[in-house]
Amino acid sequence: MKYETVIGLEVHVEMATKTKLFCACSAQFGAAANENVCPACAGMPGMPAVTNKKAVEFAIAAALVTNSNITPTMSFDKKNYFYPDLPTGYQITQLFAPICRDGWVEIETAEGAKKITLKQIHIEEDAGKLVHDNRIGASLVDFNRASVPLVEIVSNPDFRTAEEVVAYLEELRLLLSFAGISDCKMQEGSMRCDVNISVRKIGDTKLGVRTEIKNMNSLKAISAAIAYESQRHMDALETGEETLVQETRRWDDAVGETLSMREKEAAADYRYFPNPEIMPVEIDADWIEVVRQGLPEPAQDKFVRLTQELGLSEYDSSIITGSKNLSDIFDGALKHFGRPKEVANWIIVELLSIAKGDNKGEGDIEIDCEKLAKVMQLVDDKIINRAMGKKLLGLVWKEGIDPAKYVEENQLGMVSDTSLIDSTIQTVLAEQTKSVNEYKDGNKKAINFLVGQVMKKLAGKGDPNMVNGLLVKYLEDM
Amino acid sequence: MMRIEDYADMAKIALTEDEKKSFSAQVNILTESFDILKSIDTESVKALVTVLDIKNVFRDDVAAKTVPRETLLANAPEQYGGYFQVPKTL
Repeated sequence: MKYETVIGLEVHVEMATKTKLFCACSAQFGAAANENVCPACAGMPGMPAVTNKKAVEFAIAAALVTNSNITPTMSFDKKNYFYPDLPTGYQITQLFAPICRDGWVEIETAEGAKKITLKQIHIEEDAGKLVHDNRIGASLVDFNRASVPLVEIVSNPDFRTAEEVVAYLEELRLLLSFAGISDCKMQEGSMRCDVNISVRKIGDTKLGVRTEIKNMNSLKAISAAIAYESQRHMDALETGEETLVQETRRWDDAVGETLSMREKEAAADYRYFPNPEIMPVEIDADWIEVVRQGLPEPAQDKFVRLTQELGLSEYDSSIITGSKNLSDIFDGALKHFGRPKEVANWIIVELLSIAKGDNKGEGDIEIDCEKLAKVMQLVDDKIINRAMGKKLLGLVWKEGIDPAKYVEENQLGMVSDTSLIDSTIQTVLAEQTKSVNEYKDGNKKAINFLVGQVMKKLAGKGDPNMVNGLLVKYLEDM
Repeated sequence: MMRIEDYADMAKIALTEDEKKSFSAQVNILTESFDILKSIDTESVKALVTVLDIKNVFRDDVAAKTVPRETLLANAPEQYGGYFQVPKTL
């Protein structure tokens, strides 16, 4: 291969604060348009901006988990531009004294481990959201997201492949979500990514012409966009048919191409200057230590604890600690049902398959952990069988039923009347002579069908192990 | 060197030929003044963010509602279904 692709990333992550960066409006996602907006975040003149302490603490946490050097006194700057989603005419961000610089994140790919170095992380406010309504021929602005706190994590151009980019984004997601900084949901936009890409001949030290693909919000799209864009650069260098220009491009997922956003020729001049209305923030060693002490267990440590102390397999641990949400569900259920292996098994086998059926990913699962534990308890106590347990869990998921109450009200408990089980088995043996003969002819698997028939007649309420045992006994005696 | 048209573009305003002439002269005086300021050696001076000697002014992360949406939208030239309405941007 003659060329190499050079990639740098700017990752925007919405911090999990309850309120916005500089006002007390709720930062919650999904409210009605302009419901969480006040004169400050709507850009009305004269409204003072007061910094959210929690946002600064989350940003300190982000600095810690990315091994960055925290700036002793950080301050905020204004980045000036006009757009309808930016009511003040400037974005409050950090250019001159960002929260931290020079961090690194270690990634693991098939090629081995690699350190990705970070230029800086800065705190900034998000912009509002534009809705384009063709019926009224106008654009509509919702400022609910305006001034929601973000950290922007700026890497150096250390990536050479899409695999490295994906590994880095997954690692960042784990680091930030386990530290409680953000839920990092790409599909909801709480984690978005700008990809800076250029191509040069291997051995060259100068970077090629750089293009930036903005606002990527899925790993699949990012991989595809990198593949497309680096090929476009290589073709241009190879054939000379296209002249590369430094520009911002947009990924069209449906077509599978990047498209120029045709920005006006003059390079954007944001006229950054210090924001004198927001007081600088001094971050001393004591404060950093308080934040460090308060950091929850990182995914890596938890993985080790689950395998070594709780006896989970590496496979189960990697799934549980591969998602902050699953990890929280695991902890929550374990509190009520103290058998780690079974809790992990129920989550990985049953809960994930129920969620998948509803098109929900690991990060989107919402379940009452106490009820999940109760289902496990009912199965463990042999009050219901596992199949019934799975059915119940589905109902907990869909309707939020109370498992114990539901079992009682609908009489779903396993049949304990042995004479009923006996007589049901006799009936099935008499009816299913074909399977009985198959079994007698040496096809031991035929018993599965018979177990199924008995369970059906018992309305799913038998103990399959017990039925199986009894069937074997009867069949061998026949 | 920026032209007066660049400043007008940036400020999103339209200027007549006469205005361009008159503002050009004024802007030139301004930029010349800044050139003088730029010539001062500030190597050893720390950048000043604010004239107030105050640091770490914070707000706790507790949500509060200040104004109802109707009030917020009341002065908007145009609104639609709870949104601020603006000329089409796409």
